[in-house]
Amino acid sequence: MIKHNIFSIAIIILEAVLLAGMYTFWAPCPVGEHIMGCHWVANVSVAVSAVIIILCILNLITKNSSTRKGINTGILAVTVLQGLTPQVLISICKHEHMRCHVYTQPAIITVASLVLILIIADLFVNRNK
Amino acid sequence: MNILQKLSVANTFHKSRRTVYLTALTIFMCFLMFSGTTVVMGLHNGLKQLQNRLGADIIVIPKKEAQKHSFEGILYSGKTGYFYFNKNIFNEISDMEGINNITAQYYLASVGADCCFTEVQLIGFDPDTDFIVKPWLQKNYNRQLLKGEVLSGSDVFIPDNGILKIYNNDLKSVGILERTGTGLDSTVFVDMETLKTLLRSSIDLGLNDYNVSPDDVVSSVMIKVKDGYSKFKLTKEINKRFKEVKAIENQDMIKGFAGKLDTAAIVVKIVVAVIWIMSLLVMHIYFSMSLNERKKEFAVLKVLGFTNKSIYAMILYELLIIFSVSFVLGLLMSSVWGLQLKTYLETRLEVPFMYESFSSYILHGGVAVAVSLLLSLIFLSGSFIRTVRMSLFSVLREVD
Amino acid sequence: MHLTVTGLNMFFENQIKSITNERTAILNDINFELKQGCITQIIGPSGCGKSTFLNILCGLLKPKSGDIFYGNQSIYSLSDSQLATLRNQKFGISLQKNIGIGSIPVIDNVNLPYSYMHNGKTDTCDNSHHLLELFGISHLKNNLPGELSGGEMRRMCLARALVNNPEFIFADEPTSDLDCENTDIVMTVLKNRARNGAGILIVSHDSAVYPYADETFTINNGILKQIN
Repeated sequence: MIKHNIFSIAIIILEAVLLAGMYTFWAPCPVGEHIMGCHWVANVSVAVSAVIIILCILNLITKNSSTRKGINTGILAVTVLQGLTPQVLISICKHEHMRCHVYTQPAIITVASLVLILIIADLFVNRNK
Repeated sequence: MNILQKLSVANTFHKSRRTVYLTALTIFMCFLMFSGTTVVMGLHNGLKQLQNRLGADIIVIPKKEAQKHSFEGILYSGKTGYFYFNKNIFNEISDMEGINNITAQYYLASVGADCCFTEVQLIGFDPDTDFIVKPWLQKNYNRQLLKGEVLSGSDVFIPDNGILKIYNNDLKSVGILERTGTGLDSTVFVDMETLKTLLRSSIDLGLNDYNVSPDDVVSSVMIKVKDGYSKFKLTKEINKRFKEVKAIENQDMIKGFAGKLDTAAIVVKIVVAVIWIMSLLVMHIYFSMSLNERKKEFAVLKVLGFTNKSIYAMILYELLIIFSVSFVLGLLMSSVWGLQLKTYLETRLEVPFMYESFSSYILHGGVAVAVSLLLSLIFLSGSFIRTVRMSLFSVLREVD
Repeated sequence: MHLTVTGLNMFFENQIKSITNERTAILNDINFELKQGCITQIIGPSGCGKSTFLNILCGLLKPKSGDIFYGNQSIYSLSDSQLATLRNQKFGISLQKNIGIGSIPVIDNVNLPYSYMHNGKTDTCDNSHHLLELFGISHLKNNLPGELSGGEMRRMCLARALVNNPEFIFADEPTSDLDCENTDIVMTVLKNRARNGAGILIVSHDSAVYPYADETFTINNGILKQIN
């Protein structure tokens, strides 16, 4: 069972780590007088992580391979959006040494790219099922 | 496409799980080589840039701050700071023998004001005696810095209108210094008149407890030694005469730091090498296991008249397909991750870190990735040559 | 062209016996000629060395002593690549265990020896399609071997052995996994090949093969003896 679901399990772990870290290790600057772009980036990222985790859980439960392919395609699209959130969809601080550049953005892009690879691998492995 | 290539492509796609695992392992190894090479390269480039930027042979700072390594903090990791000693010491040092050029600098830290604007290190320099910033200004702008103008490090955020607001003063940014990968990239240079204005403003705003004028104190003294004079001797003499300050040779400052950098580079190389070798072994084991499962297939091909060489070629094509995909994906992912982690490394390692240019970064990384793949291919070839050469008899015995 | 065996001796060392956990097979001073244009059947108790004899004859196994001549040339004087060419172009071999190349469809499996003979061209020859039709598995030509039953796989392997119209055909248990109807089909095809000049060696327990054989030999205690 693990062999057939290894990609979904790995994605759940990665997104859970990203989600948890968004409140701890790679949290952006705290909200002060101004609410900066990175605050919204973090919120979006947390929401997207939650969605991806739910979709992966659905993948684990579903036995129908067509449904799984559909879910995986959805995860792929949402992951691309997650990767584009910092800088592209929502501007973050210009100063290179601020938390959003040092911690938040690298964490989001690293996890999103790993998840993207895993999803493409899952689609490739199960393409004929 | 001939039959061998057709078989290779078919095998790659048919055993998709095996292909994915091998590709993932190879991408990971590519990432290791890429990061290891570019990190070490970045560290060495940073040191080179730092040496060029320092400019002075000897730097004099307050003794207490030298013990706390405050200057290194400003220099390497962009920590802001300010410290001062009596200007009389500067005047007395100026009279010492063996000095070609001497100038003083005055440090002040700004506070983070607007969105996306954080603390920057303010350095006031004397335009009459400066030999650190002026030559750069002359070379790139052919002019002096006027009152109300600043020269910024490459990491300082400059709004689109070119006006930097510090302590409620609007300052015009006239130039951006080349990147060094050090704390100097978060520095803003101003002349002394501008600095006095900023100092007054900071006191008026209640943000500064140090009401010390640049007319009375300095933060650091930069000395260029005359040819023929010993830097070591002059340093020793300054330290002997003036107990309140510490004179440090540029190369000693860099040396202690270069040592740290060398250690960092060695650690990176060892860690990368160890993990890379372990990954190669894992790949070898996995690949050998998958080849073992295919022994019967190879035996049948031999029965049908395929030579050993043609079976090697078939396996080689399969590996080339996997490695080509790994090269492209590995290079793409590694360059993205590398750029993302660069700022993190600069901040955490507290060492200067920079890439010469994006194309140089990709080129060095690409070569490292190619070398990694070539070494892997050579290592794995032993495995498949052995398996294919195996006695047809032993497989036939299993089969029969 | 003839295929002759002289002074063949083969035995398995004790260490091999302990690895395979089978009874040792011994071939004692065998002299034999595989005639073209007829079907030769070898029978004998299980483990007596029938398959070993077949494997030696088609050059897959080397005996302890003795020689195999293809025409006037010993096959052991050929290089590995020459021997491989001989197996590809002149011999058709169907082993006891059915093994297909799992990643390519049935039609490409059958066509493999033809492709290799023609410098790797991937076009399928008419003979591949014809053989699949003859053996009644043309409807499975685009399926992967993993999707075939034992009998279907057997027929695919036989078709593969015949695609290059070899001079000599070696079939180890060609009718195992087959029902009566398909056994008849397979043996009829082989009989027609024999009539067209091919020399066929069949190792089989199956009594249904017996009527088709022109000569029958038995191996007992390492001795090859003609009984029909």
